[in-house]
Amino acid sequence: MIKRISLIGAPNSGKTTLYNWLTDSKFKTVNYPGATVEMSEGFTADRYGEPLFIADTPGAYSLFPKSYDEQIAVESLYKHPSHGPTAVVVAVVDLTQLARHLYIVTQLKEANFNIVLALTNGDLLERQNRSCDIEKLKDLLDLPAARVNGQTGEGAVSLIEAVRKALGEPESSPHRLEKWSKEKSELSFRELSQIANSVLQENASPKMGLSAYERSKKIDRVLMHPFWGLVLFVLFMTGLFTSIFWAAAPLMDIVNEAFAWMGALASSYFPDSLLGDFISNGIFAGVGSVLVFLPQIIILFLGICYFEDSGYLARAASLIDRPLSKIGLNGRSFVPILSAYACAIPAMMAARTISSKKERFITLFILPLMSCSARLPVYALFLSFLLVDYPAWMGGLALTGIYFLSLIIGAVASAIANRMLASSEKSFFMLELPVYRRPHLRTVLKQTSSRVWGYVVKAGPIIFVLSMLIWVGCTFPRYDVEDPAERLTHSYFAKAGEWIEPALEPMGIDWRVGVGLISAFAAREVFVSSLAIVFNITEGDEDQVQVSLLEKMQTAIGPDGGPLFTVASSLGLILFFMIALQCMATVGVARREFGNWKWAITQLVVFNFVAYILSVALVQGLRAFGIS
Amino acid sequence: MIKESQPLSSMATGFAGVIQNHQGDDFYQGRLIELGFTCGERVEILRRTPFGDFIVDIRSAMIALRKEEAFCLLVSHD
Repeated sequence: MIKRISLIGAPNSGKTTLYNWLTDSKFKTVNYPGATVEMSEGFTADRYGEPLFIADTPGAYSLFPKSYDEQIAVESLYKHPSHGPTAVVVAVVDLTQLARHLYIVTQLKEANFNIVLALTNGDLLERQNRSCDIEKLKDLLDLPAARVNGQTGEGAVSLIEAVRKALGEPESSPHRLEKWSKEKSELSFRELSQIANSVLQENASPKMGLSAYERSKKIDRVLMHPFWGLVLFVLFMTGLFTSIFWAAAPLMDIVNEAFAWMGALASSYFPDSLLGDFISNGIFAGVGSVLVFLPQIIILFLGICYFEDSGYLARAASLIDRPLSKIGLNGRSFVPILSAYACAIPAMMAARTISSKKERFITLFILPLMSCSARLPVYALFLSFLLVDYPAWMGGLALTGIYFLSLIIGAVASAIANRMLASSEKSFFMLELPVYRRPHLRTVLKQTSSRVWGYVVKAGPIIFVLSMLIWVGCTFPRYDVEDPAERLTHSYFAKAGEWIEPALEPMGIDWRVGVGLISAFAAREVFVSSLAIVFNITEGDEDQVQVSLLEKMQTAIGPDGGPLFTVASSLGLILFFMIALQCMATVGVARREFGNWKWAITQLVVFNFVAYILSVALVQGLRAFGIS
Repeated sequence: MIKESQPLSSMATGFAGVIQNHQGDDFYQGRLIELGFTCGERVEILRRTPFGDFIVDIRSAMIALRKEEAFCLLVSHD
């Protein structure tokens, strides 16, 4: 069995930065078997000689876990279904937080783990004009230790040497600890404070300016100001969102055009054949609908990871913990909610850091209600239809309104779920705020790519396969018909659309829109392109399609002989899209994150049912007031 | 001399004092101790958030505490 080395340490101890350095950022993010908590596994870089198998665990303050991810961190030290117990524990200790971070080390010692200390942030200590007598610390604790810098790699070689030496020692057999009493914990802290005092020295040299901690306090005077702090928070978030739409739009156009071009190329190779149609409208359209959101997702996560690494995100979470806690969420739900505006899939994965099971559950439950980027083309279509005679800024305003409303719907859903779920579990916040620092490009890029990759791997295959199915549903059984609109009229999907038409009628729509709604289950934005096919628009590029689709929508006749797309039915559809959970990829990920099908299916059924009921109520209500 | 101690949550921004004891929920107490909020340690209220929660300094670390969490720390002026 391969010997496993585990990094453990308090949050913000510099554990992950060190891990990235040791493995050259080449690691796999895996779930701890049977749990939805992620761990990183990889090998040390070649420059350290024979590779060592090394795992990074979620941050933990003690061996007596208070949250789910801590529980897994601790569990992984004692056992792992395929790797056995940890051979050597590398405890990462921030030298500027010596007593606090050594606390878990005394517990690891008592549990008889084979320990090597990695002492980080020595440079920050020096900036505080202090130094640490590492030899003395090693003596006092009777543990091997090395001072390392995870950003420059300084000291990594001696750390690896110490780990190899520890691996050579006879195997230790760690045992479970009996829970420490309050008195014992207090005593341990007193001893650690003494040790810290005796190894840390004030230097005689003149002070080197503000320490990172003092500087952070200064920055917080502005960023955490009771009034300006909130204003800046709103500004940062607005800035982030605006950049998603402005910066991503041209990139999304490129992706779209590239796939349209490849599709056209394929059709020209196999003109008028089923194969050509399959390649261009099945395969390329499918891959295209997966990749078209990459620009938005990449930009949003770059922003989130940048804020996270700078130390701001923890503060943003503490700013809005109180309002979120009123509706059953936690300040830690903030990042997932923010991410869900790009895509619910990486957002659900980001919810893993929420320690309380109930709060994590509610967060997972409401995430699909946040307006993800796939809804944008649908909103854009209906807003341009409704506001055709109005200036463009009205559309922007209406869109902002939709986003804001989706936040309110999410809050209401969360409050309802909070009422319905009983929990004996304690909700707590107690979040350590790291010192501000200039974000490391390497860390930001690595974090971003791992989340984006999560989307591609988890959502990609599902969206792709469903796109294929939708192609089949729209093409067969009358694939030999030349005219695409006629082919669709006789397709399985048209049959399905007609079959559900009685249910659609109260929403003020007919089977044609129904076909769009069904195909939206692959990915919501497919609604627009299938609507275009149903209304027989086949020529032209994307912008032309939008214009001709709008024209067709103006003149389309509904089931009752009046116009099909009215103010009422368009608003009804917007509301439907805001609430309905049409994304099968999300359902797949929800199953994994909830840990069962039950809640994933409940979420699917409840959201679609509520979306339908509310949409019908809106349409009928508007009609009652004379707005058709 | 026994110093009169009060919950940290009733103190104003800028307060600095010594933790005398813990009170209330065991779970909160346990977590606070793990974070370094032990008896005899100096704690300072750095600021309050717009919604009334606390950002405190303990052992040169900055930690955000909810009001109900700050309530579990009994402190006195030093």
